[in-house]
Amino acid sequence: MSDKRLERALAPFREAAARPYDTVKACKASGRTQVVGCSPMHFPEELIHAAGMLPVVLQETEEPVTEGFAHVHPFFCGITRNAIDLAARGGLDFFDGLIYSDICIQNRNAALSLKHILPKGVRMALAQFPTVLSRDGVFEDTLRELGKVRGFIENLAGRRIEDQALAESIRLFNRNRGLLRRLFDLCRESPGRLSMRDRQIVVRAGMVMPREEYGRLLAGLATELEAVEPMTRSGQPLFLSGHLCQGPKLDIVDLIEGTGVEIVDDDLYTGRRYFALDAETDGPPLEALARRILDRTVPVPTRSDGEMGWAGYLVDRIRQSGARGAILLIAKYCEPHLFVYPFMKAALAEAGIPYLMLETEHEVVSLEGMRTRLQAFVEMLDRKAI
Amino acid sequence: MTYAAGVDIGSLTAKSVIVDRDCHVVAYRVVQGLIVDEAAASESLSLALAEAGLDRSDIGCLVTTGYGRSMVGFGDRNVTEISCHARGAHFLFPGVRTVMDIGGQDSKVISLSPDGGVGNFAMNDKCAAGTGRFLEVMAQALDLPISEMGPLSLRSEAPASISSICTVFAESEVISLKARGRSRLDIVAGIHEAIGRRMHSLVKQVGMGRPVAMSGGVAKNVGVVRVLERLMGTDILRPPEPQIVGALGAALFAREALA
Amino acid sequence: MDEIIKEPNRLESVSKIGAMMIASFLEIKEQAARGSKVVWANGLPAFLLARGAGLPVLHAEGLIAGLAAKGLEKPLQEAAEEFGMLPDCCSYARSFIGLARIARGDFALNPDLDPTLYRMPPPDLYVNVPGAGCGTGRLWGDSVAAICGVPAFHLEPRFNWDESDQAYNFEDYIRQQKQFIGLLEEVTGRPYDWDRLREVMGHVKKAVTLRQEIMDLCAHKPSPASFFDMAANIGPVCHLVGLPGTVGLLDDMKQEVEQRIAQGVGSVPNERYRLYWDGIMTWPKLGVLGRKFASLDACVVAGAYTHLLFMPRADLIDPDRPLESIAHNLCGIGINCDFNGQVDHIVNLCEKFGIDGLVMSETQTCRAFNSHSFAVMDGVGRRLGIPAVTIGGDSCDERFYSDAQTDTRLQALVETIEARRKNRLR
Repeated sequence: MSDKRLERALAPFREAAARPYDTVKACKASGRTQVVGCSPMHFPEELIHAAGMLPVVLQETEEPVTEGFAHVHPFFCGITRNAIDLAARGGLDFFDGLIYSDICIQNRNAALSLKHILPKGVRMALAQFPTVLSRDGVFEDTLRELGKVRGFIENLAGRRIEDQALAESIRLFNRNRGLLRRLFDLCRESPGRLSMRDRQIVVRAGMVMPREEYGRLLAGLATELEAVEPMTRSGQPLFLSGHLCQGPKLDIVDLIEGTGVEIVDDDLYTGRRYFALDAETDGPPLEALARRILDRTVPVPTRSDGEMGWAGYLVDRIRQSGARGAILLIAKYCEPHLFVYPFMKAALAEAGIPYLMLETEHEVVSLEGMRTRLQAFVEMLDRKAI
Repeated sequence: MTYAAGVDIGSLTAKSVIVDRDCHVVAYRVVQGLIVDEAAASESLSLALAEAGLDRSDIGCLVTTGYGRSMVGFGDRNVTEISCHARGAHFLFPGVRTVMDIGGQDSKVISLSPDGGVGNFAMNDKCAAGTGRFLEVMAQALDLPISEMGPLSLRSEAPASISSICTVFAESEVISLKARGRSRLDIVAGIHEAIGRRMHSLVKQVGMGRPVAMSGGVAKNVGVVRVLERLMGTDILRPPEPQIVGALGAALFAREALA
Repeated sequence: MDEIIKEPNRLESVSKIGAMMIASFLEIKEQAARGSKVVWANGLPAFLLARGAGLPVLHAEGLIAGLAAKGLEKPLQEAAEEFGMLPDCCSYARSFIGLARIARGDFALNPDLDPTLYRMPPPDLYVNVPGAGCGTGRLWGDSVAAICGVPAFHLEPRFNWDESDQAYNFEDYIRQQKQFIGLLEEVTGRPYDWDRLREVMGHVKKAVTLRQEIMDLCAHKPSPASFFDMAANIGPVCHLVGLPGTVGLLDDMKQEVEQRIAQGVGSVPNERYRLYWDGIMTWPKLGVLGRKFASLDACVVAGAYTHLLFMPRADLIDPDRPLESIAHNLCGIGINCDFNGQVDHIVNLCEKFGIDGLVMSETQTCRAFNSHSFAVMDGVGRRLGIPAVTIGGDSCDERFYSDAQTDTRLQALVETIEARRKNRLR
C-alpha cells in the first residue's frame, strides 16, 4: 500500500528531525567527518561540504532554557536563548567549528556569547555578508568575505577547497533544492499529499544529514508523492508565513493543521525560503555563491533592500498559491520581522487578504490561547465564505 | 425542540443562556466556582432550564464556548468566545463596531465588520495584567471589596501611577504606595488607570470603530468604564448583564443551526 | 518609617542644555520653512558629515530622550503602536517611527498636547549611523524612510570580531563615508565643503576633549558630577556639536566641576558609595533615579553609555583628517568588539573611578547594550571583587520600570557593599 511506503520513505527524515544533534554526533562518532555549524541566513553550506565536512544549520532544540539564563536575558529571541543555553550546558561542544552570520544584533550577540562560553576546541567565526544591498562594491565585499570564510574552513579542515570540489558541491545542493521544490509544488497542488508537519521535518532533516544520503532519500520520497493522486480539498487553503530564522515548533504546526485548514504554501525558513534559490553552475564557483547570497528574488528583512520588499512579495506569493488567507508566525522578539510587520499588515489589508498573526516563543506556552485564535480565524473565514 | 442554548465555560464562571426561535432570551444563569469543570457547566445549564420551565430535550441545539468549550462532554458544537462575544454584542447593540471584553483571566478586543461578523481581534491571555484577576489581587492588597473599587476610583483627583504591564509589579507598587501614606482613593484610581491603559493599547492594535460596547464581568466596574471612555474619547455601551454576552452569542449560533 | 529623600546636586551648566536643544530644533524648523532639505539621523558621524554639506540635521534620539525625561514621550510610542509596532521592539526605534508618522500627518495627536513638541519637519534623507553598531538602527531607518518616502543611507561600521579585523574595518568605514558624501552632493546639488567639515571636526575635538576631561575629573572623591549629569550632557557632543555656544557651555561646565572639587562639593550630599550604570539611561525616570541614588548616599559616577560612546577617543581626532577621525571613534569602540574587549573597557572604567558596585539596568527593549551583562557582572566581579544588581527598565518606555522593585534591589546592593566593607575590616 502506498501509505506504508510513504511512511517508510518518511521515517529517516522524521528520525533526523526529532533528534537533529544526535544524528550529527552519530556521523562524527563513526569517524566519517568533522562537523561545522552555521547560523541562518544565506550561509553557503556548500563551502563546508566541499572541504569534506558536514554542514549543520543550527537547530532550535526543544528543551526550555535553564542554565542559559546565567548568560542571556529572557527578552531575547528563542533561537538566541536556546543556542546560548545549549552552549552553557555543553550541548554544542561536539562542533568542530561554528560560523555565525551577522544578520541582526541578536544573532551577532549570540555569537559573542558563544565565543565567550564555548571551549576553545569549538572554533568560531563571524561571517559579515553585506546587510545593505545598495552599497557600492557589494559584490566585491561579498566575495572577499567568502574568501575569508573559505580560509577559516580550510584551516579547520586542514586542506584546501578546490574549485572543482566546490562546483560539485554546488551541483549537489542545487539537486537537493530542486527536489525539495518538486515536493512542495506537489503539496501546493494537493496539500493532503504531505502534512505541513512532515514538510517541515523533511526540510529540517536536510539541515543535519549528510547531503548525499539526503538527496537519495529525497528522490525516493518525491517518487512516492508523485504516485499519490491529488485529493479533493477540504478546509480553508491557507498560506503560512514567517519564522525567518528557525522553523515553528511542530506543536504549533499540528495546532494549525488540527483546525482543519490546508497549508498550500509558505515562506518559512524551514520551508520555501531555504531552497528557493540555486547557485549558478558555470563560472568560478565562489562568485556563483556570492551571487546567490546577493540574490534579491526572495526579500529578507535582515538586510536593507530599500523597499520593505517582503510585504509586496508576500501578497504576490499568497495570490499565486490560491490561499484564502494567511497565518503570520512571528518569533517573539524577532526585530527584523517586527519592523516589517506593519508594512505587511498594510499590504495585506490593501489586497483584501485576511490574516492572523501569532507570536511564537521558544517555550511553548499558551497553546490554548493559540488554539482559540486559530479557531476564531477559521470561523471568520468560514462566515466570509457563506 | 424549539429552543437553543449557549454555554460559556470560563475559568472562574460558567454561564448559560437559552433562547427561543424568535431569539428571545428566556433564561440565563451564571455559576461562580473555584474551579469550573463539567459539573459546574452542567449546573449552570440545569439552573437556566429550570428557570425557563424546560428540560434538556427541549433544546434543539447547544453550542459551547469559552476556555472550557471542548472540555465538556455535552454540546453539539463549539465556537470560540471571539465569535460569540461579537455575535452577542451585535444582537444587543446592532451596528456596534468594537467590542471590548474584560473577563476574569483574559481580555480581548473584537472589531466587527458592518454585517456584524468578526473583522479583526486581539487578545491578552498570557498574563493577568488588566483583567478581573488583577482587580482581585489589588482589592486584596488594599483590603477592599471588589464591588467598591470602581465607585471609589471615581473620587480621586490625582490617581497614582501604577504599572500596567505586570500584576506582580503593580502589587508591589500598591504596597509601597500604601506604606508611604498615599491615599487609598488615589491608589485605587491608579489601578483603574492601569487597566484602562492596557485595554486601550489592545484596542489600538485592532483599530477602533464606533459604537463601542463592553462585555465581561469587569464591564460592571464603573471606574474602568469611565477611564476607557476618557482614553478612547467615546461613550461605551454596556448591557445590563455583561457577563452573559458570550453565552448569548453561542445561543444565537445554536439558534441558527435549528432546523 | 519615614523615608529620607535627598536631592542630588545637579550641575548648573547641564540645566542650560535643554534650552539649547529646543533652540536647535526650532532652528531646524525655520530652515525647513525656508526651503532647506532636512536630514534625520541617529548618530554623531551623520551630524558631522551633514554639517559639512550645510544641511540641518535632526538627531531624533536627542529629541526623544528630552521628551522622555519630561514624561512627554508616550504619544510617539502610541503613534508607532497604532502603525503596528509591538512594544517589545526597541523603544528608540518606535519613538523614531512615531515621530515620522506625526511629521507626515499620519497620526492624529491628542488636541490637549502641544503639537510643537512633536511635529518636526519630515526628512528628505534618513541616515542610519549606529554608534554602537546595532543592526536595529538599519531596521528602523528603513522603516522611517519608507514612511516618509525618502531614501535611507546606512553608515554601519563592520564588526571587530577580533583585533585583526580593525584595519580592514577602518578602511571600509572610510569608503562608506566617501559614498555618503557623494550622496550628500547629489542631495544638495553642490560640491561638498571639506573646509566646513574640518572646521566642524575642530569643534567636535574641543567638545569631546572637554567632555572627557569633565568625566575624568569625577575620579575625585566625592565625585563632583554624576552619570545623570553626563547622560544629560550628550547633546553638546551630538545634536549641538559645531553650533555656537556648545564649546563655551562645556568650558563653563568644566570650571563648575573644578570649583566643586576645590570646595569639596559632591554630586550627592553625602557620598558613601560609588556606582557604575550599565545599559542605556532610563530617560523617563531621570529625575526619580537621581533622587533615589542621592537618598542612598550613592553617586553613579560612570556608565558605559556615557563613557564608552560618543567619540571616546578624542585623542585620535585630527581635524585635518576627518574621515579617519570618525572611523577611529567607531571601529572597535564601545560594544563594537567581543565580550572580553567590552569587559576590559568596563574594568578600566571601574578602576579609574573607584567603583564599589554595578547597577545593570536591563533596558528591556534593547538587545544590543545588555548582551554583555552577564559577562560583565562575572568578569568585573572576579577581577575587582565588586557586587552587581540588575534593575528593570528601558530607555524610553516607562512601562518596563517598576519603582518598588528598583528600591528593593538598590537597597540590597548598598547593603551588600556595606557587608563586604565590614568583612574586609575584620
